[in-house]
Amino acid sequence: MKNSVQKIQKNEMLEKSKTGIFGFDDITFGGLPKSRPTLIVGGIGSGKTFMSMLFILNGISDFKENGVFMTFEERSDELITNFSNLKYDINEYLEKKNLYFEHLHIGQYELHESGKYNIEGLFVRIEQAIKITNAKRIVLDSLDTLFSNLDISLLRSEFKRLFSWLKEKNITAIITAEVGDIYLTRLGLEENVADCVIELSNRITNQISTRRLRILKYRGSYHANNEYPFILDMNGIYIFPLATQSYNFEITTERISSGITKLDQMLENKGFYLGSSILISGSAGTGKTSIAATFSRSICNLNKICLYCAFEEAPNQILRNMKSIGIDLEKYTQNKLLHFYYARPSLQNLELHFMGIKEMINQVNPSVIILDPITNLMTEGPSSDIRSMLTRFIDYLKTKKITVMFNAAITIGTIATNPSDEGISSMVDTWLMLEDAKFNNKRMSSFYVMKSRGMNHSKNEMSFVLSDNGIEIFEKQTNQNNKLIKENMSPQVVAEL
Amino acid sequence: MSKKNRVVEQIKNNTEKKYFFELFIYKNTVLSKNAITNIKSILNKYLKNKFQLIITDVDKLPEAAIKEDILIMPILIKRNPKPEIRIIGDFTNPKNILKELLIN
Repeated sequence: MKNSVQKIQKNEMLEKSKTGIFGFDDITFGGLPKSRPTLIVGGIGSGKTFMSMLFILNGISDFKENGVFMTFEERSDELITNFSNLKYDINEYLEKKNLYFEHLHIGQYELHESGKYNIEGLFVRIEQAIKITNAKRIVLDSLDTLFSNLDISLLRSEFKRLFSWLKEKNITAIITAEVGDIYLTRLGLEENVADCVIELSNRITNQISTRRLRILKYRGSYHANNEYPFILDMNGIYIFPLATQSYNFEITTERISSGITKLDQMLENKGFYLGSSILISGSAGTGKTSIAATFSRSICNLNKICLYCAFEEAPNQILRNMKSIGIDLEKYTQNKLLHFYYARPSLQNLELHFMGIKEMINQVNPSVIILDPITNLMTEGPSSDIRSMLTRFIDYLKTKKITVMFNAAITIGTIATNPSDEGISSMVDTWLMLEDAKFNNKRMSSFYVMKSRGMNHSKNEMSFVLSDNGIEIFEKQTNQNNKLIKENMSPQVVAEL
Repeated sequence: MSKKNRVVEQIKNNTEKKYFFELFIYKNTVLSKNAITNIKSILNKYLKNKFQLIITDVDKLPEAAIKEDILIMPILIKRNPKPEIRIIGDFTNPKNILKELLIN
C-alpha cells in the first residue's frame, strides 16, 4: 500500500520545460509543465505571440528541443522578420529543421457547413510537423482566430480532444487565446483542459501602460500567484521575479558609517546596518541629496563601490552642486568607485529603470545604492503596483546585501494628508527625517531619526545646516531668550546662521 | 505514396464530367462513412451521370492536408464548375448546401 502511494507521488512529480524567458522560470519554479498543454490568454497586443515564440526559439537555442510554431494569424512573414532581429538565426533553424513554421489559413476559403465535422485535419498537420522536426515544443497561435466562425458547442469537445491529443504526443504545448469575445475562455476550457493557464494583460493606470503577467492555474505545481509587471522590448521579455526571492536573506550585524560623525553618534555611534534600507525624507531643499552624497563619499573612501541612481538631476549637476558644499565626488567617478545611473524620472519607464539598475548591479557589484529621489513613486496611491515593485526591488537588494539609501519628499505634514506615505515605513529599516524649520528668520532644518530597526537610536531633534564644509548636525540649544547657543557650534555653522 | 493508396474510391461516369468533387476524410470512422454515404446519395440523386468524385483518406496521404490547407474534416471541395466551393460536415443536413453544391 505504502509503495503504491509512493509510486503515485513519483509519477505526479511534475517535470518542467524551461522557457529561458527572463524571470518566468523563477516564478513558475522551473518553467511550463513538460509534455502538457499551457494556455496563454490575453488581449490584443498583450505579448502572447512574442512570448510563445520565445519559448520555441529558446528551446532550440538553449535547451536542444526542436519546436513547431503554427500560427493562424495573418502577417506571419512579418513575425519571422521581427524575430530575425533577435539573437536567433531563424533561417538556419528552418533549414536544419529545428523549427517548423506554418501559417494555417482559414479565412481564404468560404466554408459551408452541413452536419457533423471535426478538426482532424489540424491533427494531421500538427503530426506531420512534429515528425519533420522531432519537436518537443509546439505553439498554436491563436486557436480562437481559427475557429471564430464555427459552431461553439462542437468546438468545445474538439478543443478538449486537441488538448488530450497533445498530451498523448508528449509535447510541451502553448495554445494562445484572446480574452473577451473568445471561444476558449467563454467555454470555460481553461478550467478543464489546460494544465497551466497564464494571463497577460496590458493595463493603463494613470495614463501609464504596464504589461502584466499572472499565472491563473498550474496543476500540480506550486506557483507564485501575484501579478508580475513585465517588459517586452525588441530584445525579449523580462519579468520581475523579485517577490519570489525568499525572505531568508542573511542578516548581518556589521555596521557601515553614514559618513557624518554626528549621525553615526545618533545611531549607537556605529552608523547603519550593512545591507539595510535607509530612507531620507524631507521637503524640497532641506539637504537630502547632500546626505546621500556624503554617504557615497564615505563609501568610496573605504574603497567600496557605490551606485548612484539619479532620477532628477544629471550626474554632472550633482557633482557640481556637491562641490559647492565641499563634497568632491568627481575623483571617485574617475577611479570607478562611484558609478552613476541617470534617467529621467518618467513613470512609464520605471520598470525599465529597475532593469537597467539591475544590469548595472551585475556589472559593477556595488556595496551601496542611492536612489535619488523616489518621490515620484510615492505620490501613487496605496495600492500602487509600482510601489510594490519598489518593495520587491529593495528585497532583491537585501538578498544581495546591498545597502540602499533613497530620498523622498515626505514630511510629517504630507503623511497627515496622505496616510499611505506611512506605508513606506514598513520597507525601510532606518528613516531619517528632515523638516523645514525657521529660526531667527533663517531656514534651518531640524533633523531626527524617525526610526531605526535593531538599534537604540537617538530620539533627539537636531539642527541641520549645510555649510561649505558639508553637513553639520548639532544639538539645538537655546537660551532663555530663545536664542541659539553658538558656543558648541563649528565656525562654519555660525557663519551660516 | 502511390496513386492507388491515395484514391480510395473514384466514381467515374462516362458522360461529360461537368461536376468534379473531391472529398477528404480521415480514417474509416463513423463520420467518414456517413459522409461518403450521404454525399454519394446526394450526388446520385441530383447529378446522376454528371459528376466525378475522388475520395481521399488524409491518414494515408497527410501531405494532402497541407497542400489543400485542410483543417476541418470531412471536407468536400467542388473543383468544377468554378468557383471552388468547400463544404465541411457529413452531409446529414444537406438542404442548406444544395444550392452551393449544384450551382453551375
